[in-house]
Amino acid sequence: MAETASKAVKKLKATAEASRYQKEWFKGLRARVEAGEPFVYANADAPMEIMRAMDIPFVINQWWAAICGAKQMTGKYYGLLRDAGYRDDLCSYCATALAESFDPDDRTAGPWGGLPSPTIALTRLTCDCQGKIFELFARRHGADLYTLENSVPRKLPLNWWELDQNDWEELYDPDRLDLAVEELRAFIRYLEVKTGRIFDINRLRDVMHRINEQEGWYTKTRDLIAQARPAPVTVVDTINAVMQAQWHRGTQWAADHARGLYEEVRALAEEPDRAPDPRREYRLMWLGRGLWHDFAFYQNFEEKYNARFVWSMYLAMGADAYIRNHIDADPLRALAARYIGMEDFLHCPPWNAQWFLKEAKTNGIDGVVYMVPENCMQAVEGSSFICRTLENAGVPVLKFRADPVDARKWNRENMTLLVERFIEQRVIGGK
Amino acid sequence: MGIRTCARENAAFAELLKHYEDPSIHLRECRAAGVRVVGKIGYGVCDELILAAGMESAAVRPGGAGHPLADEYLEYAFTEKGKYLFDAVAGGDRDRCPELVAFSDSEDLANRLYYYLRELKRSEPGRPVPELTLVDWLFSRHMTYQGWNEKALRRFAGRLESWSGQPVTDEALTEAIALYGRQYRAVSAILSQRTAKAPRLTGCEALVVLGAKDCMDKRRYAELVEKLALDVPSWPEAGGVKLFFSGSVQQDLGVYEPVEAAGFVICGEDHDAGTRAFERPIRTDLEPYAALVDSYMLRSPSAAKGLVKERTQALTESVEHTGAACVLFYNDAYDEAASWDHPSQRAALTAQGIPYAECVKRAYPPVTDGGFRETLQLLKNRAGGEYHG
Repeated sequence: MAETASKAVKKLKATAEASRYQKEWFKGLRARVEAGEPFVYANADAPMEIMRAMDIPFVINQWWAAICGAKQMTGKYYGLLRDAGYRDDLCSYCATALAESFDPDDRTAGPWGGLPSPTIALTRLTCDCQGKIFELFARRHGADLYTLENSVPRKLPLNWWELDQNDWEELYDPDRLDLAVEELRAFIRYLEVKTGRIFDINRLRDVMHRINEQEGWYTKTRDLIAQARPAPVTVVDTINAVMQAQWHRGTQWAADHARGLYEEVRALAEEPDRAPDPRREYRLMWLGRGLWHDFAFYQNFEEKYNARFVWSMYLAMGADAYIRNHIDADPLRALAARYIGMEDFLHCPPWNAQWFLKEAKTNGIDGVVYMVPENCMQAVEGSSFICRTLENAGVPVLKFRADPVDARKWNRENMTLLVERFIEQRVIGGK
Repeated sequence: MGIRTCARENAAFAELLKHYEDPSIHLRECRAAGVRVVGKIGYGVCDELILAAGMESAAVRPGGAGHPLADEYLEYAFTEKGKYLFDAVAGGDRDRCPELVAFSDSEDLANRLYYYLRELKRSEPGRPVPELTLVDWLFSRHMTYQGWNEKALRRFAGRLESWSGQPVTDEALTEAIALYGRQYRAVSAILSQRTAKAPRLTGCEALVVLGAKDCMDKRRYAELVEKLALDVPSWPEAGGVKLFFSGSVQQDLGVYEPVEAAGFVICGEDHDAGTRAFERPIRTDLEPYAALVDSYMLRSPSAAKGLVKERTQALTESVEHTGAACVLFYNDAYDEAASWDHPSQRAALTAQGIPYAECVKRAYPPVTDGGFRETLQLLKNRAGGEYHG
C-alpha cells in the first residue's frame, strides 16, 4: 500500500474551525477524565444525546477510528492487535480503538495524546462482532460494557425521509419504539447509579432543540450545494466540517458552527467573480464510509476532468435523518425515533437505495463511486440493489472494495486509474 | 470413525440417516400429503409453533451446484454457505426450499439473507421467492428482551396462522411442546452415550441424530430417537481422541468425517446444528410462549450472540462436561464473530492444559487438504494420541 501521497486541500474556515475546536475539546476531555469525571466511549449509532443531557463527555468510536486513520496510525495498531493474538483482518472500522489499546506508547504517540480510558463502553448490537469488540475494549480499559439491542424493521418505506421528522409513529413499527424507550430508561437509570449524576428530561429537550437547529442548517447547506453550479465546496470540506460537529450535536457550539458552515458555503456560491472552470462540471457522489486514510483521493479528479465529489452521506444524513419535530411531548420517544432508524436507512434495502436515488436526483449527480468494505458484515447493505436502483435511473455506479481506515490494503495509483476509467467511460462517455 | 456399521445397521438410525442425507424426501412427502412446510434459516424458528399451526418444518441447507444468484446479489462479506442458501431460497427449487420460509436473527447471516430476499421479492416480483418472515429474537440476556421475544413469537404465530389458515391454540402448542419433551428426553439419553467416559456415539452419528429432526416428520422423529435411545448403549465404544468442535455451523458431515477419520471422536460442539437445540428443555410449568423463550433464549451462548467472557466460560465448561482431550476451532471464511472469542478461549484452554488447533477462513464446501490434515496431526500429537489420517 502507498501511504497518503498528498494532503487534501480544504478551503473552508468552518472545516479548520471544527478541527481546532475538536483538538481543544479533546484536551479538555483529558483534563476532565484525569480529574475523575466519567467518560463514555460510544458507537456512532448509540443515543449520545443522553450523555449530552447529563454532561457526561463521550467519544464516538467511528469518529475516533477516522482520526486514527487520518493520522496514519492504523497500520501500527493492527500490527499490535495481531501481536496480541487477534486477527488483524477483521472489523477494522470498529476495532481500531481496541487495537490502539495495545499500544504501550499511546499517551505519547497516539492521536492527540491517545485515548483516555473510558468509564463505560456503549454500543448497539448491530452485528455479531460489535458486542465482542466493545467487550474486549472495555476489558482493556477497565470500563463497564453497556449494550443496546437492535430490532429489525418490518416496514419498508420508500420515502422514510418524508416521514421521520414528524410522522415517526407511522414510519416505525410501534413496538420497536416502545422497546427503545424502555432501553433508554434502563440506560438512564444505569448512568445515574454509575456516575451519581441526575438525568433531567428538560435538559434533554434543550439538547434535542439545539440538534434540530444544527441539522436545519445542514439541510440548508445540503440544498444549497444541490442547486449551486458549479459546486461551491466538495466532500473534502463538508465531511470534516459536519462529522466533527455531529460529534458535538446538542451543544450551542455545534449549532452555531453549522450556521457558520452554511453562511460560508452560501457566500462562496454567491461570489460574483467566481471563475468557474470553463469545462463542464461532473458531479460525483461518494457512497460508503469516508476514506479516512486518503482524503486527498477525493480531489484527484478535479484538475483532469473537472469531476468533483459533491455528495457524501455525512451532510445529507444531518439534513434528512436527524431532525425530530414536536419533541416536547415525549423527548425520549423522539430520541428513540432518531437512533433506531440509523441501521435501517443506512444498511437495509430499500430504505437506503431509495434515499440515495432521491439524493442523486436532487443533487444532479453524474456518477456514483461506491466503496464497499470487504471485512464488515454490518456494512452489508444490499449494494447490488443500490447499484441497480441508481443504474436503472440512469446514474452510473462504480463499486469497489476498500477499507475506510486500514491503509495497508490501499493502492492509490490503482484506485485512481479505476475511477479515471469510470469517469471517462461512464460519466463523460455517457453524456 | 464417522458413521459405523453398528449405526448403519440400526433401523432407526438408518431412517434418520436417510432423511439427513436427502432432505428433499421430507419436502416431497409433505407435498404429496398436502402438508405445508415452513423452511427454516437460523436457529430460533420454533418447530413447536409451526406444528401447532398444523404445518411441518424443514431446515434449508446449503448445497447445490453453485450460487449464481448470490454472485449477482450478495456482497463479498457473505459466507459461501450463505450464498448457497440464497440460491436455495431464490432459485425456486421446491425440493430444496419450500414455498414458505422463516428466518431467525440468531446470527447476522440469517438476518441479512432475510433483508436481501425480502427486497428481491419486493423489487422483482416475478422471481420465485417464497413467502418470507423473520422471528426477530433479541438474545441479550435481560428481562427487557424476554418480554420482546415473547411478543416476537406471538407475531410469528400470527404469521403462521395466516399461512396455514389454522389458529395456533394454547392446546395445540402445549401438545407440540410435549412432543419436543419426548424428543428431548430421548436425544438427551442418546447424547449421554456420547459424553460418557467410553463414548458409544461418534460425532458424525450425533450430528445425524440431531440434524435429522429438521429433515423429517417430527412425530416420526420422536419415535425413532426413542427407539435409538434403547439401542445406542449396546453399541461398541467409539475409540479415538476426544475432541470438542467449536466454530461454524455444520449441517452436513463434510468436516466431521475427515476429523474423525484422523482418529478423533467429536464428543461435543457449540454450533447451532449441534447439541444446542437439546440443551435446555421447554418447561411445561410455564405459559407456553414464556416457556419457548426460556428454552431458546437461554441456551448456552452462541458464537454469534454470546459475549467473549460468556463464550470462554461456556467452552471450558463444555470441555470439562464432555471430557474432551482437545479443541478444534473451525471457522468458515467470513463467519468471523468467533474469531474475537478465540484469544480468550485459547488462554483459558492453555490454563486448563487442553491443546487446541485453530482453522479459520475455511472454504465451503470444505477443503480437507494436506494443510488441514497436518493441523489435525499436530493437534493429535499434542493431545497424546496416535495419528490415523
